[in-house]
Amino acid sequence: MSDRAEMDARASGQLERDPALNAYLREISCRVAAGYCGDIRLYVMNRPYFNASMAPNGYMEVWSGLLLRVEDEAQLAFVLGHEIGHYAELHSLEQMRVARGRANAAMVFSIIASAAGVGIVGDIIYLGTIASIFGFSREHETESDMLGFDHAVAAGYDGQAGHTLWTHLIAETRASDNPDVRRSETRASIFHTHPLSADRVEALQARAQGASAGETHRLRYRAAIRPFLDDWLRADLRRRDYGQTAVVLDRLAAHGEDIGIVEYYRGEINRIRRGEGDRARAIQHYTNAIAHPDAPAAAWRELGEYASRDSRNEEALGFFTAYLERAPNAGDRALIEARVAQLSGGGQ
Amino acid sequence: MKLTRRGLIAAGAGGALTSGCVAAKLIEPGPYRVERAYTIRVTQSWSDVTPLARQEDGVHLLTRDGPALNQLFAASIAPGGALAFVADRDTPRPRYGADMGDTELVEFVVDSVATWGYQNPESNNLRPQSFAGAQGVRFDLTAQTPSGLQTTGTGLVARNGDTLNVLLFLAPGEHYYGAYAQEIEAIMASATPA
Repeated sequence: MSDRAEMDARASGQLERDPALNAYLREISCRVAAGYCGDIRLYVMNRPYFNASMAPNGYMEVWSGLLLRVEDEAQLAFVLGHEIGHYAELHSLEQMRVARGRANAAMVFSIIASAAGVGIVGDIIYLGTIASIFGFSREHETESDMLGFDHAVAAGYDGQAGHTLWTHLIAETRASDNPDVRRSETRASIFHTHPLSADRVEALQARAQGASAGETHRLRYRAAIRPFLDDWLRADLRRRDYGQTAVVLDRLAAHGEDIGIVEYYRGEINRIRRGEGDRARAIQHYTNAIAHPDAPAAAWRELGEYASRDSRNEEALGFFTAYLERAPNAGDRALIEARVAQLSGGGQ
Repeated sequence: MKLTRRGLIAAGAGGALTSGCVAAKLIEPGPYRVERAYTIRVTQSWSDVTPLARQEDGVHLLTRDGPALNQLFAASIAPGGALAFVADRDTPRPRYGADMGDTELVEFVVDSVATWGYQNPESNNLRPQSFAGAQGVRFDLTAQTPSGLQTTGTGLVARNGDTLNVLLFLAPGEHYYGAYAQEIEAIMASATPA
């Protein structure tokens, strides 16, 4: 089953093939895995949820939603160490014996659904099937937390990373727009059947007290993920859990970096949500964004749209023109040019 | 030959679901009305498979060779309505708002495509184009299925009062999109108010 899942991952449209990002993550995983480095085949999947998993054949998936939420190399090293802990202790094999019947049934249903062309149902079943492989027991999770800690610290990483990351995930759960999510306990992975409980955070905190200070390599990590922020934030926004995305954005902005893109996506939350006061907030965030060099060109377009709706035609014209200057190959160039012509008095 | 194949799709899909009293409908060349909003004219036979896979109100799904190979969504969506059906009512989905701008209408369609499970959907070549007598937006689209198949699409959206009219064609980039590109152009150009 693990081999089949790995084959699917290789062909998947979700596979992130960027050579630099893949090389960077493999380097970290090898540093953390030490003796297991040769066993690991790591795949980055573009899925906007927090998840990493490692199968008993050495196939490891790390999802973009995790990479977006992790703040530095030390936190990533802790998660990878946690997964390598499951692998080293053969947790998957133990779990698979328990789950075999359930997984087989899910696979059969998945094939039927797939044949019927029910894409989203097939996807859900796929996730459910994989969940059977990676749904570990509470004891396994706690054990792997400690192993993840040990692996990361042995590789020279900061021992505070594990409990900090879990605390952030719990805060994100509390910020969800969905009351059911807020009421539920946080999962450290969408596949883990057992929650990320306070005792796991406390155990890691206690373990970290005796550890010597290590490296976080925060700047290096941010530099590695920076080229993907736009795509990953767009995907996160499509989940339409604006409360959680806002928490992710706050964390990205915590060190004063990438403010143009962060402010743009804060504007996007407000524009798409259309709640009370959101319009004014969207305009403010887009205005904040364009004061920074990394603002996406679309921030000028959105300001142009708002100005146009308010009949502030001169301003709209300026924003649309600025947008076209910054994005000469924009996919909507013909449309915006038509708007410019209209606002200039020469259009339809 | 082709007519027989269309008939087989309609009959086969319908037969599979006879216990639920739903069936695909064969659409012969000629006019096809989408709600009370607009009428398109098809020059080849299509299958209306709307009853076979639950759709949102006002959304019709037509296909030539089966939904995995080509899908033509023809929709008229009221404010607050959706293009992408999601069975779980608590799962948020893109919803149409009557105050959306032109780029937001395209974003609504692209986000709906993402909701169906397509990866990395992206619109490009947005341009003004009339749709059933109204000023609309035409766009092209690329995406991948979860299993990595390259998908190509084209769409046309326009507001009619407060409702949104949508025509969206999706097919694998390999062969199927190109094979029906002319037919889709003709269908889009044929749209008239109902």
